[in-house]
Amino acid sequence: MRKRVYYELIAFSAGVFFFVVYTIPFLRSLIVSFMTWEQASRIPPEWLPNPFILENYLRLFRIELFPRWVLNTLLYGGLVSISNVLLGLMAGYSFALLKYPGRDLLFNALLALIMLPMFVTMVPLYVILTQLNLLDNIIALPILGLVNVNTVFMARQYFLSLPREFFEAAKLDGASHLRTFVEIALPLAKPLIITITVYQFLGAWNSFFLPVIVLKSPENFVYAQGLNYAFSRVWYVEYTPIIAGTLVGSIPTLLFFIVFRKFLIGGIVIRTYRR
Amino acid sequence: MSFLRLVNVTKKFKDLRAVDRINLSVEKGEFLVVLGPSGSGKSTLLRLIAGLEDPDEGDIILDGVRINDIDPKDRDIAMVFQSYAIYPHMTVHGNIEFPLRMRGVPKNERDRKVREAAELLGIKHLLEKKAWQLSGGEQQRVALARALVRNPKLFLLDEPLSNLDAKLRIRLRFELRKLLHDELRITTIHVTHDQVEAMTMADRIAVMNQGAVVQVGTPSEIFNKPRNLFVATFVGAPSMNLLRARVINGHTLSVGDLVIRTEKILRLENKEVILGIRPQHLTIEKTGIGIKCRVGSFENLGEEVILHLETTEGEIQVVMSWRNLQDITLGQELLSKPIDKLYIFNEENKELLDVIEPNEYILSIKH
Repeated sequence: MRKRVYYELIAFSAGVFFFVVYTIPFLRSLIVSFMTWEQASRIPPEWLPNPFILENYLRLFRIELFPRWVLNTLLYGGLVSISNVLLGLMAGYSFALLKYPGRDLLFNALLALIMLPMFVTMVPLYVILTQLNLLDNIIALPILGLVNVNTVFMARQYFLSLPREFFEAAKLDGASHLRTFVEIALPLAKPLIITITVYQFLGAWNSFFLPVIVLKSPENFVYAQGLNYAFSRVWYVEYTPIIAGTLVGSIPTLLFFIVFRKFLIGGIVIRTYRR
Repeated sequence: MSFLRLVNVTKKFKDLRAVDRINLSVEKGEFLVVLGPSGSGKSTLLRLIAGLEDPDEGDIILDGVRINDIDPKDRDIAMVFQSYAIYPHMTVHGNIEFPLRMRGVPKNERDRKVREAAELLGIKHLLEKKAWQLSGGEQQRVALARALVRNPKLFLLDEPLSNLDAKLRIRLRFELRKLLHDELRITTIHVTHDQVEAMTMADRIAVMNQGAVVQVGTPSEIFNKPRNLFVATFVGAPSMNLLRARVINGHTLSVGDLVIRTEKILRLENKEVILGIRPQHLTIEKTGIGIKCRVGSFENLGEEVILHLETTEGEIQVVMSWRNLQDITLGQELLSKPIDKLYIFNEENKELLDVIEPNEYILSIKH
């Protein structure tokens, strides 16, 4: 009995500890977004905004290019989600259910790509974009993110986890591969489609590094990049409006999370009619 | 010329020969049951015929055409899977309509055919339901309707009754045969591991073991003249009793201290053989002639009882009606006496040597 109390006490303390560790930075951001830059940078840190200002948020909306950056990011996120769903599912379906020589070799080669750090391919990608004349073009971003190996992997595993009989039955019922994909695989992959869309969209929304390399003109910037550009000074960066901007920027992410929570928490939730 | 012919069909998975040089013919309109334990290759055989697997060797000939290289969708073969594989995102109507839609049948005709199939299987009231709202038996009917609606040349059933409860299974095995064989006269291959299902449904049974077809025959041929020990013990419940016996001379056989004389000429003089007796073909007596045994336990089946008896030659089972069994107690010494067919198997290759009919032998006791 006593042992159990100790165990629960330890578990509870650990829970509280991690909760604090993870939430304090967020709380700090929230508080700082209502502070002046001067108060926010004081040491030791202060925890009550004095004066309480909305200036950081207002400055954000005064930026002329702000709506443009949001639109750019929406375009990037939308395109990259669509292409990943379509191409990722097709590739995953092919790796999981079609038979052709070299299939597993090809898949393993793709998997090995996940292991490569992104920086290895950065320079060749830059060169390719230059030659395609796509540098400083927002379209370059969705093209670079056309389909992610992780998406292909996830889709393949998902299709492998579904009962193979669905696809075999469709084959015997006279469906071609394309029709089987459209009529059977896609409708059964709804949870997967939502998961891929959410991950890709969030990835685009939070992207910073790639856009900084590819995009040069401020009107082409995406959200995070734009914030950085607007509040970077020669000698320092104004963090308070950037923090405010980041908080505003996380609203869509939060909404996404709330709406599609059950798909994200369970990773990929597979719901067929099996009982 | 048979409707479906398999010639030397072989399928290997790595080192395992899942299907090993199978030769089999099915006549038009025939109801063939492929019977075998799990892992015997019977489902693989079905998948080869359907085109879901490619054979490594041999030919599959359907209606005079070699179909090895024909795509499954163009073979005109329908299959009902063990799991039914009802498309979960479609309604029952959508499911039954699917094969017609894939073949470009016009909408009006599709609707008419779906209704006909649904009516035939008594599921017209379910047409607008989603697959997940159906019970196991209903799902099975939908799977059947989906297979029947396009009027295929050949119908394959992969253990379609094994997911159903016992009562429904008994009713459906009767209905299935009546519908497919008696009414629609569709050539059907039905795979099962359930020997009762095989006996009750089949025109002919093909017994499979370790990738090979061991015996093909009518249910009564399989039951009354099993080709070897495997068939003899696999078909029939409880399993056939096997006893070590010895051929003394051309007309005499001994089991323990029981001597069996027959007018038949027995081969393998002075050799060990295996004597097989079905549990229903034995009776017990307190005195007289028989194999000495002790009552080990009972299994009550209601009308009948299975007696487990210990003999010096191993355990044997006897099925008897309760009426003949009133004053028998555990541990009691009895005599067990064959009253019907005796099967004699070669001890080395386990093949059937002879069947001795009840009027062809006399029992006596060794002195």
